Amino acid sequence: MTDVAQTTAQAPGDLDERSPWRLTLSVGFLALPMLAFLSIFFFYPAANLLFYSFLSQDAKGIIGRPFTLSHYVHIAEIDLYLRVFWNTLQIAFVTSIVAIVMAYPVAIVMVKSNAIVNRVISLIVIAPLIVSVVVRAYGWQLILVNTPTGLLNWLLLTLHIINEPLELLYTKTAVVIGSLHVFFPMMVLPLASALGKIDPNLEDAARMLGAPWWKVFARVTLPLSIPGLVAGFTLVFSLTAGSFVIPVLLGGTSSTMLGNLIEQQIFVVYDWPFGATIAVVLVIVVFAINALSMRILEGRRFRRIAS
Amino acid sequence: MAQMKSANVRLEKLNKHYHRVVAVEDVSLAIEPGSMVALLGPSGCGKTTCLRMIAGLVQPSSGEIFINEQRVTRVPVHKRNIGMLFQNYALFPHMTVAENIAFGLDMRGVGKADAGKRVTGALDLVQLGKFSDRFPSQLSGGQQQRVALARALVIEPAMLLLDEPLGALDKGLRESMQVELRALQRRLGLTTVMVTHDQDEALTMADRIVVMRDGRLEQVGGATEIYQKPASRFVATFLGASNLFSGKIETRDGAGALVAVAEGFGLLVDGLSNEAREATVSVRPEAIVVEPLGNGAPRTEVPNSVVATIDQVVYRGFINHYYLKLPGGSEIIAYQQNRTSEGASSFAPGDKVIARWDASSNHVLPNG
Repeated sequence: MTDVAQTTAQAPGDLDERSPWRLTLSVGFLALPMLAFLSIFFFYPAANLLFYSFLSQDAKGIIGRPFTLSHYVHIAEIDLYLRVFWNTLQIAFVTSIVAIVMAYPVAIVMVKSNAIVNRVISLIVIAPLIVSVVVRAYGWQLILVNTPTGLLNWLLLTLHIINEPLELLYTKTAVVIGSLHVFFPMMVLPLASALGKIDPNLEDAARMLGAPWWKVFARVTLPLSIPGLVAGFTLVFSLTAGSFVIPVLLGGTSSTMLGNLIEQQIFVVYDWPFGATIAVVLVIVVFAINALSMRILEGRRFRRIAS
Repeated sequence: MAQMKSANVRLEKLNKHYHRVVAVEDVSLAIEPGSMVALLGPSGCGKTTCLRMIAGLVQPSSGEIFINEQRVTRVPVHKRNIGMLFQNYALFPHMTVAENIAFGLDMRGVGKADAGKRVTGALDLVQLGKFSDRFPSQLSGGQQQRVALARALVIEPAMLLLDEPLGALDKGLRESMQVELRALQRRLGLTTVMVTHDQDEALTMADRIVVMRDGRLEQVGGATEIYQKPASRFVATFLGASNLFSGKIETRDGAGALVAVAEGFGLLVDGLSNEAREATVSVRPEAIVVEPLGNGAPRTEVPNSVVATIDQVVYRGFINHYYLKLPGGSEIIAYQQNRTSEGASSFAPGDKVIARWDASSNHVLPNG
């Protein structure tokens, strides 16, 4: 009897001693290939980029010392750069907000419907990702062309909704529309995932307590879907702020974005340090805005976890 | 908290179909003001659908619901003023206890000061005054259910609905919550409908028990009535255990009759209709007395008794469960109370015994 008790008591003890160590190690191994890849192809170039932004270029175009902060000052001083900067944030922000507003109904329908409908909607949402961004941007060009023969203008003119053709192509609106089309799935999918985790009883409970549907949404559904909202916002905002193809094909001179500016600096002007500086500022600002949005949207959750 | 006005509730021929599947069929029920009614049945019997129709969360396919003689069938959920407890508590995880309780008051436009007072009152009612600033995730299951109760009561609802309210709690806590919830409901005089699959919960808490099966009402009555006079085989076996015997009616003597059952003995019964030729009789296990078979020949000709062999003895503390094999091969079960002075069991498997009971324990199932 005592022998049996001893052996059974010992076995789990051994396991307990080993497993945490083994677990940590094996998880570490799993992450290793990706960490190595990112170190070589992302962190190292990013550090390099940061380094470049402090270098200067002499009259012969040779990049080197002395170290300088003049490029950062340059960005802050020149009106054009600030305007492009502001454009980029504006386009990214508007795209994210419109995506949120449009994604909620889609995500809610996805979550509330049965498996088949859910699959069909997911497919429709994801389908655009299969087509190249360039092809889609050209498609939008055809639709948004500013002449009366453009698809949208022709439609609206024929239906007598407008009398003059709209000036859409090569505007910020066109860039927002294009970005929305490309990045919409990035908003819907995290949002649907977050909404799917909300216990449907909570909405029933709110209704039983006297909340009409819009108050149920505002007080229960929306706050509980914040994790998905933040994930979607982060994705759409970051991707839009860093986009290049869409503003090139759909945006005009008034809607140049930082991505285009970087391309010009690197490939046209050959001013690599300044191009690097713009890139660094873009990354920092996008980071900051994401951190801020998380702080604002999830602040209460953090407090709850902390307490 | 003030005494609440008790509402009477009436369901009239409620039906609910999902496409071709019938969830609830022809349910009519009158609920007395201030009483607690339990909808009892196995899963899928339609009890939850009934509750959700009263709540307004499910729209009936046909039929009407009246609260205080006012038709509420088409009144949207948020205007019904009904409190509800969910099995998983359904507390808002992003709100504190106080905010959870204040939610319903907020929806009713109750001012901050007044709402604060009422929230405090509700918290005191469920003895959770100190926990107002906690989040639900920081509370135990029992505490969460109390918060849910406070949240449901603070809006002074016309009635209260309980959807398997204690199902997620462990046994000891569940039993004390049953008594507590019942006492509170009585004190407030709040008309309450609860759904449960747990017969003990129904017996402990409810004034009236509604047994449901396959979307229909099987029997409605008080706890004793349902237990002692089950209307059907289903009720007799769903609520507690029953030994069921079927047989032909042999001789009649006024209202009484002798039923010769297949197991080869007779049962004396009353309350048979004159046309009946066959009857199914239920005998509760606790009515059966198990006695040692004395010397001499077994006397099978005595009604309400049968010679049997002990097949299994299950010691359950204060009672023993005896599984008895009858000569025909069928089995019956008998409960015998243990007295502390005696040993665990007077019988062992294989012993020959006489099982007998009083004729008054023979209950003829009206619906067979």
